Amino acid sequence: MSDLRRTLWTLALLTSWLVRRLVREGLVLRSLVWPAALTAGTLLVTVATISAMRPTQAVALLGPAAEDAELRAEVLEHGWRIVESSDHDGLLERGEVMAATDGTTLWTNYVGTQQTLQLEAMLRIRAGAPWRPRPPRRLPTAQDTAPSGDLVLRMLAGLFCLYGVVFGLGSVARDRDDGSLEAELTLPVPRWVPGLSRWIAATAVLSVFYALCCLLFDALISTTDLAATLRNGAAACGATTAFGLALVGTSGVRQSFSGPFAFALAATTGLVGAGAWAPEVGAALPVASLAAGGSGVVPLLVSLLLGLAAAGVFALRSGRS
Amino acid sequence: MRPRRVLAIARRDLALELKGRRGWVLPLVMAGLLAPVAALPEPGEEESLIRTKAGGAVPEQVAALPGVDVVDSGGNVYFQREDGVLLVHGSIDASVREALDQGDPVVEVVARGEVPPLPGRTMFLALLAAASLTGGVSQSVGGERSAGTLGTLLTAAITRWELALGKWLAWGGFGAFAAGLAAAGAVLLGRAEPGWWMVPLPTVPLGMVALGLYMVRRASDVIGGATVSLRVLPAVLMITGIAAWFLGGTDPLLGAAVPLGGALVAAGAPWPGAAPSLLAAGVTLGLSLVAVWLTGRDLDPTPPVAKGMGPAALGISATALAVAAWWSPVVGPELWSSAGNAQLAAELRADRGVLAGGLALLLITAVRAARVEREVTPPPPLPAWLGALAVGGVLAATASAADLLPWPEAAPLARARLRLASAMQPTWAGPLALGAVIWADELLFRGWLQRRVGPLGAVAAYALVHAPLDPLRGIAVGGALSGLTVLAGGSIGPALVARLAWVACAAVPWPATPALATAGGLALAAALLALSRRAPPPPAPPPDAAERA
Repeated sequence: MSDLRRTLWTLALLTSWLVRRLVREGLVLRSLVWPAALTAGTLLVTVATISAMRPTQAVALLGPAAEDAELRAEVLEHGWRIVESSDHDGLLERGEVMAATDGTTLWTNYVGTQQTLQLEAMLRIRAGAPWRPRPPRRLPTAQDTAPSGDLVLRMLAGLFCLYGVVFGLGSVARDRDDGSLEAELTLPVPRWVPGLSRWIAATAVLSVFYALCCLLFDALISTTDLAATLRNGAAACGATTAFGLALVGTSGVRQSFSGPFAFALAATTGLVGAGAWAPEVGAALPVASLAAGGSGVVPLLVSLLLGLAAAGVFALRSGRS
Repeated sequence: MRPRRVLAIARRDLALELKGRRGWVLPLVMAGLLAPVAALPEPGEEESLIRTKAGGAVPEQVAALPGVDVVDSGGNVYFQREDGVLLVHGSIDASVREALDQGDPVVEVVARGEVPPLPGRTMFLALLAAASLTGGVSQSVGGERSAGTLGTLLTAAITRWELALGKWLAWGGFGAFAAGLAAAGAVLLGRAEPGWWMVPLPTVPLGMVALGLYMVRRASDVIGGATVSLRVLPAVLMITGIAAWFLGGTDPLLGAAVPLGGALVAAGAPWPGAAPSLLAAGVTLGLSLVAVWLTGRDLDPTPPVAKGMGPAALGISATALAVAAWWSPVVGPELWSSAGNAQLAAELRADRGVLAGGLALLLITAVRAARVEREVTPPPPLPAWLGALAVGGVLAATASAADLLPWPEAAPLARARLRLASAMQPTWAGPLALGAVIWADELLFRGWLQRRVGPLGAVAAYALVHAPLDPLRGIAVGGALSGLTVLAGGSIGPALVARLAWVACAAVPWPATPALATAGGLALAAALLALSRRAPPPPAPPPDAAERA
């Protein structure tokens, strides 16, 4: 087998073994799944609670209001049912109506909702009031909710960046402590192979789980540009894994781990800040592009270069027994 | 239970962590967090943090209100004149409304409902005292285990429960003391009135520490302990707190009965009287004692190797996970309709939901598969491949309940059923989503799950995940594919071919006999399953590798 073929084959096998090792660890898995599950779960529970608490779409008309044909027609035009009863307190207490009115007084459990503001506006127009509320004309559309989806995904990407640092640092440090790194370095392949396989494995695992987050939130609340979000997130994961890999040096988990760890975290958060401060430059840099935005293509390429460079640094610093 | 030994453990834990100059960090951090909350005066109305920002043609009487700031842009209320009438956009609070009505409301708005009272600042004393103890809790068990001292302690003349109780008293007592001290300071400075809220206040850190010790009881080191406690404890506190506040709006005693959250909310004095505070304190202390007992029961020098689950437990856990992974992105968007925004529900991309669901199911399978050795099955016989084509054709003709029965009638469930039915074989969602769903279904249900829980279990799981509101169709599809897989000797190849045949046949306009097709599908499923019982059993799968900590 030629050297190149052996190197590529070893790279592929080592990477697949590392991926398998990562997903077998319960702690790693829970860390990757928990943020998306918690945020998506919270969103769904919130919407479900709102729908459960949503007031009945019915209005009680009392006294003069009950005989006002124009008012009745307007209420029906809004899609509300009309309930005729003199016991508005009871109806409101039982939740059978969202509001009750006799034309000059409006009783409601839900001040400030779109429906009660619409009803109040209706009554004020009929009474010739000097002011009236102007309820929102339309409910939010997918275009309106997309920035919220983008914000959540940017925050999740920031968390995945921190995971990238931990994966890059921890995979080498832990394997050095338990001797498996030394075993890999005895293989008849270039010393950058174990480093590059770790970068590919960690970046791939982080990117796939981040992709799941992106798809989930796009389905639940929509995003502005899913592909760009995915690219920026994958680039950030790759870059921070590269940081960890390059900075670990000869540290082990039990020895001198906290210094490189703190430095890598500081670099990561600094890049995010730089992206917010100088978005024109940040759009081209991985991690910074999370704050700056952009298509994510250039950050992805830069991240790839960083990964290759980190493998080289690994070979020089860490790839020594 | 020997109190002197319990106290000795508590003293030892605190002495280990709080000795020397570094030992001052935790007390100083807690003091720095608690002192401002306890000592700072409430802002006056002029200095209130909750202010109304008004923009546009703001009337003089509104601008003169003490809680209103006039802004050039943005703002939460906007005024606009149109045809001599003042239009008000945004939220109109009571003071603004009163100013606009100028004492003579043309239309009077009477708010009947009561918002559940918000807890006061003293709740934050409990919250901060509890939240600062994560490090101590993680170090208490995980750190001792990695240092090897836990084993030494457990072999000493001390019971597990004395050990657990001592650690709980150390950190829970520290937090309770800090919270109590801060509360006393707030009362002495006149920032809070003494009351029954002081009873549940110290139980919040006690409860948090007890729960935290239980969660980290198997942590192998301080990092393992910290990741568990950092991830779970804040979520538990938040969820139980919100639940307690919500339930307290119906009845304070109901809110107070929520463990941990009830004590947290009661510490903020939103509920009058002694009963809610005493109940909240009692329930949380009860939870603490149970958690401490369970911790003592499970303490071991080395974390136990996780035992594999039995087939039934495995099937139930995998199905529950698959249900959450599939329903959330596929049916979840329908909740917007129920909440009153049907347009948003319609605009959200269903194909992305299906792709997310498919990817989630694939990841579940990949993770499970990574824990076992590769399972090799013999190649399926030719009749299985040919039968797969026929099965695919029949499945394409099966109908959903929407075509046969008007059930369920409730609109949200009917919409959910339609989404699930269309996502079962989503040819409309594009090749990526369709491929993800097909591969995910066959690898998970006919591949990994069927080998562990059998074909009937796999059929039930498939129907529950994909067609809970359309069980006939779910059983027909799942049964046919599971039976085919068993006849193929456990290989999922024919099932994949059947799904592809289904895709191809879906383009064919079948005659309008959905009832016959569904009955035929069920009959086919029953026949295949019956035949599969006669087929030789596939080789037993290797046991799942023990989960690494």
